Amino acid sequence: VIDGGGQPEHPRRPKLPEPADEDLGHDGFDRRVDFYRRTMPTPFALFPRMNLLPASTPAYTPFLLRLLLALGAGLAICALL
Amino acid sequence: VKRFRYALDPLALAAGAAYAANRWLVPAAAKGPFLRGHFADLLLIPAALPLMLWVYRHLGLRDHDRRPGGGEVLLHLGAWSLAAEGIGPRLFARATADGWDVAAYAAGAAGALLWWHLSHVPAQPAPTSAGVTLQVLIGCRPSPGCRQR
Repeated sequence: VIDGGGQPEHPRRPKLPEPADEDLGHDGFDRRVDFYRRTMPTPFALFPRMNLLPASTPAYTPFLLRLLLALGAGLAICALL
Repeated sequence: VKRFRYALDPLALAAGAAYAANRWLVPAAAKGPFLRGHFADLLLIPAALPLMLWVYRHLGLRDHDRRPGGGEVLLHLGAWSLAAEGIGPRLFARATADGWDVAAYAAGAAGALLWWHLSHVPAQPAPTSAGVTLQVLIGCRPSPGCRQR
């Protein structure tokens, strides 16, 4: 599913409420974060399921990202434990 | 299909508890060579892979909630073996490379893969011989849609 800007819509991404105009402004970023913090039901809402990959990335990119994350986690485990 | 519960998966919870018990509850003097050496390596994939998959899921790098597949297990077995036995010993003074560690990771991975896939196979009730005989006698083939009149 393509939503307007060409970004694939994540099938499990929760629908976030839209901030009202008064929540935005010159310092809109901080106020928007505050808006989401107030309106989200659980702490996990600050870490919603993201889709970091634009539609134009090559098919092997998720695999490479998983491999890099796995290597990083392996080194962290090796260093900490 | 029952969805995978990531860190709340029973095997992941049991592996984490076993690691914690071995590390903090069992006195060092009471540990044999296996508990001192390769026990924690056996638990690497069962305990850590579900957490990694949970992170991937929330980053959009995993698009389902099924149990870990063979490819995911193999990828992490390879990456973590390389990190812990190939790269780690060059970076961290206390890390040492040992081929038996990789064997322990692989054994833990194989056991976890078997558990994740064999423990959730839905049981098919076997028809009794008497039931089959009755179905044949009343002219109905032994299938799920067959009803006795």
